[in-house]
Amino acid sequence: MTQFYLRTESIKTADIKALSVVNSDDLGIIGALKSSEPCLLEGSRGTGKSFLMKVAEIEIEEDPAALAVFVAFNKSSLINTDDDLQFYHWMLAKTLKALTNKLRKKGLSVSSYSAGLLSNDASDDPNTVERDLKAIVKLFEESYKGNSAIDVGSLPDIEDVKEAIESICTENNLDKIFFFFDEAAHVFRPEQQRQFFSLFKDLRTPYVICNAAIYPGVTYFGESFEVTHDCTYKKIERDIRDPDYLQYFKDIVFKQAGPEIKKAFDNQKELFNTLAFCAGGNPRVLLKTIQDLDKVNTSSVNAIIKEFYRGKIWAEHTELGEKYKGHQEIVDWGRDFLEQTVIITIEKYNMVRKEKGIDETSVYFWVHKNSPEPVKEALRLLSYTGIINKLDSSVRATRSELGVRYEVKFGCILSLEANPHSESKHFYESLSVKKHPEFGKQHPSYSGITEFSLGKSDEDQYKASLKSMLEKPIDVLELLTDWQKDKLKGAGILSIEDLHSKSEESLIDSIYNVGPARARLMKNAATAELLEYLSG
Amino acid sequence: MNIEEYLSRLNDESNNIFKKTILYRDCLGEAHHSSSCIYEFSENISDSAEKKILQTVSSQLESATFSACKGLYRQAFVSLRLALEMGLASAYFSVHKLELHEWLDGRGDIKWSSLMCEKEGVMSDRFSKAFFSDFDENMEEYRGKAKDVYRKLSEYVHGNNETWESSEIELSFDEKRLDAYFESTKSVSEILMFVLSCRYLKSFSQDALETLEFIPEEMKHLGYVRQYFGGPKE
Repeated sequence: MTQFYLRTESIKTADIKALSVVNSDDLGIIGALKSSEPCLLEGSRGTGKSFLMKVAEIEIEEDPAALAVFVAFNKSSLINTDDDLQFYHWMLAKTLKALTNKLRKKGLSVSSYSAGLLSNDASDDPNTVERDLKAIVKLFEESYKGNSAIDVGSLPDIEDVKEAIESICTENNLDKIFFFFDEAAHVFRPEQQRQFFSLFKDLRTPYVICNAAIYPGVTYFGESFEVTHDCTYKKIERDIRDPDYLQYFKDIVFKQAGPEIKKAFDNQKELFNTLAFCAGGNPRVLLKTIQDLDKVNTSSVNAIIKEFYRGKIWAEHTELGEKYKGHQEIVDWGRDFLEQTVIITIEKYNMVRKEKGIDETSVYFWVHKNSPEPVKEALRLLSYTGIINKLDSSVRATRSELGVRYEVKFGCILSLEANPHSESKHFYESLSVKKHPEFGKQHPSYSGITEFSLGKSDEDQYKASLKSMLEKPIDVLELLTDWQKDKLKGAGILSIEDLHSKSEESLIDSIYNVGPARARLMKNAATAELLEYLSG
Repeated sequence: MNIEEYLSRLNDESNNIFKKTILYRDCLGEAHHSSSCIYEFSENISDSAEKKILQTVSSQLESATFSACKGLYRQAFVSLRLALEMGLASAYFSVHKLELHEWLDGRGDIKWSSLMCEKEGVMSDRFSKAFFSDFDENMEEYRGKAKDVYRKLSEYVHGNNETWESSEIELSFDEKRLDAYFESTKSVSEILMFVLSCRYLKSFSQDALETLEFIPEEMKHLGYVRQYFGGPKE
């Protein structure tokens, strides 16, 4: 079928506006990206973060006094250093390089050699601020490339950079420069992500506004960055229950589709609706499933739903395990948990209600807030690819216990039906967000992951850092109170490794006054620390 | 009116055109950026003759824009066409050393038909297969673009009925013509960047690729280029 643009990067800037479909939520996001407040935009893969950023960029540049600069930190160019300062300088150099290119493209600066049309004497103009910026970039580059021994103290600091940017703005009548960091935090390890958010905060001046796209569940902000104070936080949420949901997604597809597909879907609206609901608010998934359709008919739609939502959708999730090697076991467990436990349980839940003649269906589940840390981590990772979506974080369930409510992508549940399309409409109309199976804090399916193993990577550097991590005293665990730390020490548990190697049962047995709740809390503290580290 | 007065009046008129054109800062900036990118690209090529040709291409592009600013539209298009030919020729010569030396000696010419040859040219599948096979996917499309822009530019160089009308040669500000120039510059730069990337990217070190941020920026719509620079997959 027709080839669609599945990624914003594949669309030339000139074509963005023609393909753009925005609803009132999107307008709110674009407004936030264009405002003077820095903005973080959260959304799972393929939900349209980059697209909205591009639209904001185009609108910002309609004002001649504003400049929008896209910065890409690509994985392949990432420097490998444990020196935080070097990493910070590397990011700063990349950011400023993007700015100098943009200034040149906008006609606000001229390349130093000017391609030989001016004689050397005439082109010699050492006093421009663009030169300053280039000199700063060069100094940073030299510092982290290690070509020469450079005294870090002699490097320009962030204030120098901000001053240089301010001069560029005043000289060129620019009011504002917007930096867009797309997928920024994604390629970084947690420690690098913290550095990134420091830079994000540090760069703020009346002239500079930073915006970044981030994924749910896999972003670490660090201590100096406070989400509520340092930025506007926006989430891309496209709930299948929204009244304009179908029209919105139809507009997105029809902007790109050829006349034949449009006609076919206009004649068989329900087929389109089924595919749109299955995508669970994700434009890329919808476009991909339509692109892979053989024909616009019921059997093709059923085939693609089963093929995609039972199998292909997991490819990205599994890749995540390859990327975050230390997390492989948790990524794989998360898939098993969702496929073999959660989805099956939801299916049974729906089946029972159907047999009883109750007109209620569910794609939701609830997990106790005090579940083991690896379970929570696995769920966080599942929300990164958008297979599940966290709806609310403190929902009361049976016995008034608090927990988190998640939504499983509609397609993943519907694909279990023999004829997904024929069930879709009724299933959707009967959805009730209040009906869902629950997974308590001691659910038997957690047993496979509570004692997850460490150290699957063979890399020496990884092993060495892991060792030093494990050797740290439990005093570093901020989640524990002093009383709890003393109790642990009293039982001979002195390091993170000691704590990690003990099961909850053995903590209950060996420490007086520690029951299941405290044992879980103590284990979670050590595990959270390790998991965060292992993300790299 | 003597010859000095006559030329001075032409110069005044040209300067008036310049004042109007200089207001098109975004387009002028983009044209300058493109020629700078070609220069920066050339700095990573080890063969000095190939490098020098590309640096001349960069100068050609600058001089084309300057001619356009002064209202010398025909000259601008001539320079632009030359930049396109030479840019593609540098890729062609990089695999035909004998012809390179004959051309440097003045014994050979750049033949557009050889550059565009579907089987042996720099925009053939054979070429991409040898240097960066993923470029196959878009080779035909870009070859079509190259032929198209070359034909348009040639109309200004050789002249057709429309371009040889005296009103078209007269020195006066012509917005339509200026727009056509900026459009053509965009196409020429895009085609050159496409062919040069196909020819050289795989031969560049990681450090060199690091300095070429403008390539993933300008060509990120091509999935394989984006991925080669560590960007996201399709």
